[in-house]
Amino acid sequence: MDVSKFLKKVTAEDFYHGQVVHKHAIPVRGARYGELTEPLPAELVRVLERDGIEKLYVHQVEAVSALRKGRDVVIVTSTASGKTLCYNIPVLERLAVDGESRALYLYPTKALAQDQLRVLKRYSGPDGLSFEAGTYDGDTPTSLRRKLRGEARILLTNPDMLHSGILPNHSKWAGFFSRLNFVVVDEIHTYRGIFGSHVANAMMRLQRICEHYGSRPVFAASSATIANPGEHAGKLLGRKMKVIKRDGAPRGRKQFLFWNPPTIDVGDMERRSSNIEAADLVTRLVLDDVQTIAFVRARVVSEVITRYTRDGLGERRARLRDTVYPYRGGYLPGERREIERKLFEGELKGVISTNALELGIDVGALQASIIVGYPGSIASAWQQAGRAGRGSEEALIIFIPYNTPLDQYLARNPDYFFGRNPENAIIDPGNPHILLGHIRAAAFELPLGAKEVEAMGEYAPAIAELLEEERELNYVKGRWYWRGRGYPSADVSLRNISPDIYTIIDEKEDNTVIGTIDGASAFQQVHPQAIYLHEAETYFVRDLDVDKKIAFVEKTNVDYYTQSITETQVKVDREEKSIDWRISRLAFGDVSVTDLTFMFRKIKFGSRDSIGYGKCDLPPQVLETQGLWIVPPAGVLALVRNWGRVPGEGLLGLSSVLREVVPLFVMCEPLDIGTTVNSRSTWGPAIYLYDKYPGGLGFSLKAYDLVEEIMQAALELITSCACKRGCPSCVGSPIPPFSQLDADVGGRGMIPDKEAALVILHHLLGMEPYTPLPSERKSGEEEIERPKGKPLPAELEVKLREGLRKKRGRS
Amino acid sequence: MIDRRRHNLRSDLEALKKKAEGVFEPRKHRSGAPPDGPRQPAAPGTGVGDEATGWDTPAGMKKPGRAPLHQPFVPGRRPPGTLDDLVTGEEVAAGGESFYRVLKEAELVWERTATFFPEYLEALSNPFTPGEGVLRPLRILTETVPEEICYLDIETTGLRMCPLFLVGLMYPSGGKLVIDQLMARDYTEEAAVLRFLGGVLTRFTVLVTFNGLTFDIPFIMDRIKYSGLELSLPAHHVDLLTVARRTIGDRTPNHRLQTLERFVLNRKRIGDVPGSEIPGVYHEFVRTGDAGDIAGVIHHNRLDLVSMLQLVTLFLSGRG
Ligand SMILES: [Zn+2]
Repeated sequence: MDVSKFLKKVTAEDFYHGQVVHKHAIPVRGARYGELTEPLPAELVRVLERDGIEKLYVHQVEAVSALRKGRDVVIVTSTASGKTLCYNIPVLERLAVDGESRALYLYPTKALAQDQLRVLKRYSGPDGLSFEAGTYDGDTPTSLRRKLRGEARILLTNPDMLHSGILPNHSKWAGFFSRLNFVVVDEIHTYRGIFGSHVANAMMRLQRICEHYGSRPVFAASSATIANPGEHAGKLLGRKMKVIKRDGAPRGRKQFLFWNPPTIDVGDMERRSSNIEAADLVTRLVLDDVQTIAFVRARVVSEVITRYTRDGLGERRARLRDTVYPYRGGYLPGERREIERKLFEGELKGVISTNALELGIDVGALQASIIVGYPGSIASAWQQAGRAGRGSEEALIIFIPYNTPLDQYLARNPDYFFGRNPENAIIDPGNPHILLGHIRAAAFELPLGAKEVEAMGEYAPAIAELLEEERELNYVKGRWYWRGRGYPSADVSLRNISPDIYTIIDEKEDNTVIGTIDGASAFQQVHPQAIYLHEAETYFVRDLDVDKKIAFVEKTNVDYYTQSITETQVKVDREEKSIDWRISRLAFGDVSVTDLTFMFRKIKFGSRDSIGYGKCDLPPQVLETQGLWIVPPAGVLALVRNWGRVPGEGLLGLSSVLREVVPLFVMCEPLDIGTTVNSRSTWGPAIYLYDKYPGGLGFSLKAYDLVEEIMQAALELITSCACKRGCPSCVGSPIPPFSQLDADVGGRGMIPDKEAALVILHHLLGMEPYTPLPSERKSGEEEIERPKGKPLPAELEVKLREGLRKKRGRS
Repeated sequence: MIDRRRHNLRSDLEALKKKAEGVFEPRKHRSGAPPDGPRQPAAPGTGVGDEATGWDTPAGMKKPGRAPLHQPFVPGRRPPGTLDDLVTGEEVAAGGESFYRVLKEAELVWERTATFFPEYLEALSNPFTPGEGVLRPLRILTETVPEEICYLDIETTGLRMCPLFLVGLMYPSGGKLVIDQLMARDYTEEAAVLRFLGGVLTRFTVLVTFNGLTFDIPFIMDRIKYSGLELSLPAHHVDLLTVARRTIGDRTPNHRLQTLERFVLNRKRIGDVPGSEIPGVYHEFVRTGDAGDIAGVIHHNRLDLVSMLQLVTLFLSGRG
């Protein structure tokens, strides 16, 4: 697309009020090709040429050469740089020359596996290569499963299916495993935190089974940009990985804009709706025939923006109205495939998507990408930005912040965004709570040798002994054998999400299933009287059957949507232990975190006006877990107050910092823990830190033991942060709260008080009292602006001061 | 610190075990005593109660002054001892592998089989129903030399994907019915059992099982694959469960072997090790070496084999 022409046009329009607050150009990069030392088999060359591939980029050559030599690689080149060819070429080459070889492809979602199967199918056929390939997941019919086990040369599945369906039944797969040459693990940046630690253990089990059947497959992994791809892949797969990052794919010029919605009144802090700004931009891009994707955080927002965009298009060019679609989790698979296909074939001009399209589903390259609201990580933002750009064509990327502290901070400080490294992916496969389930599963699959157990982590031998004591394992001639009941892999879910899926049924249309929603979101989004949005249409939720897990809806034409309000409370169930940490009390024990969705608001489309409230009568959702809490002495709160600052804000700021620091000490992702400030179970306000996992995974327990180091690190982080009054890297929450809500209509909130946090930390750590900068805002009061005028010329000022001194001297 | 961790892990484990219990609930249920049902006339070859063999009196006829009929199995109650003391078999060793084999004439195990066996041979050579209709699957038995017919029943540590530890075979040999049991004394001996089984089976043309179609045979083949071995099965396989289903229909509450014993063969086991307890008994035997309870399992396996043979007699003589 012609970016400057588009911008010229748009900025000349009435609706333009200086929204472009920052421009960042990403320069052109030419293609760099390489040459394989050994040529590819003729039939493979033929199918590649048919696909328009005549030369390979340098990174593809590097990957293919390494994989041919049996080296394990992780590929981290940009989106749409032809990553899949890096592993498809050596796999297909092997299939062509070795009639028995097998390959296993793992994708984080079923949809991705199906998408990649379509890519592979292009290579097979009468005038191509001949091989069987298929996806093996929960949807695969039983009759097909047997066939795939026997005949599939390339099997595409997900880690969950591998863990619960394939590994525990490995003898049925004996033929497959004994001939396995390649394991492809795509999108490994998604395997992080608790989920990643589980997947790493499943990969360990996979490799034991391969060894049992006498194979040693080569691993090819791929990842979006993260700070530590080599280390992460190494830990995940238990191999030393060669990192391939020299990107040879061409790139057109990309213009990255920060587009801040204009304030509505001068002096007013309200801004125009970010959702409407996004819709306005998508509308204009689509009218200019620019295929556009907009990324949003919340599912409801993908619907709302689609609606606005369709309205906008309807007014100008009605036939384009239905060329824009929402795309998100909860749509039926068929519906999603259809949208993907239309997008790929150019039938759709715009798609408003949640991060569901952030992963590598091939919808073809788009010409513009709009990021509506900060997605929560730098890595994710770049991943979304990467969706725009067709080869060497020019592309447009626009970030539209919401009127929230985090987003507005980024709008004011673009250098923060462009200068920051993407995040590390953290996993801890040796976490004893996670390991326990996999040692059981592994022992069930094959007896565990002493050496193997040792390699599973420092606590693994102790866990095996514990299981022996508990009569789940028997130790015979140097190996542990499973003797417990049942199928232990069925006791472990790899993902830390509620396994409940609610079905959404349209009563008026013969009880057709129109979509699904996960248990965690159902209460917030399909409570009775909610308006559920589907393909930008409004559905009234008549009833939510919690037992049967069904939401009954009916299509209703209304001019509003709903946003529920959920309150989170933490309470102490049982204090297990406590100590005096310096002058504070530090305790650890069982806590429950209760989410109660108690009411909802009706929001008018367009104006965002609240046009009514309603009550939700739903049971609370309780997470029973473990946590620690720190109760500072009353004195420190008074100290903060004396500086004219709000103690609660300082504590909140400190809790945000802990959310960033603690993961580094306890080896988890920020999303694996929660922090909050609450005074329900303690005499004064306390900072809570808990494991976001039923029963706990030992994160907060470890943090309890490391409190001194953690607090020192928190202080170090805040004092070394270059910001003046707090930013997302220090006291601001790095992750937007309640990400399933529309940030366009929520309360604005603010970045907590950095200075107050420093006053508290200095005091808690027994250091010199900290003198904060003068307060900018007094607690609870709006600051009254001083009258404005001309500054005094320097000479005049000096004279006036001298005169004053003389006057005083006289009196 | 470590203790706390262990404490927490134990509660993790409790939670996991609870989940596992759920998975196994139905199985426990199935192994319970069958409900009372219509009584069948006494079949040939059913004897009166014989405590030593584990058979009780015919259902409903109580001997005075004896333990209650529903005497439950209690682990560890049986007199302790080694395998050699209690079941007296021998170690078979070959190629660095070994296992335990208990090969005995059936009448030594239970003297009444001395009458069951001739009745069986008679039924084979002179079937009342010539293998027509629902009994058609049995025809192959009447067309085969009795010495080439082998009964098979296995004992395992679970329903699938876990070791088997006992393969019970029964076949005529030298004019006598023999029971040939191949046992893995621990998990490492399973491969030797399977290898030996492969050799033994080559002597037979027909294999007779009870539910072997869905359980025993796939289970064995699964373990063969797991152990990287090969095994060829006899040319024919008769699964008595399918025959029983068709001939007996809803005359019995279900078609489990022990239900048929009770309602068709008209007897009931006492103090038998229930199927759901067998894995636990075996794992404890592996851990402690005390063969007290596992001897009960070995006996249980023999009774299964003998009952299968009697069912064939019954079906072929037209009295099933
Ligand atoms: Zn900062």
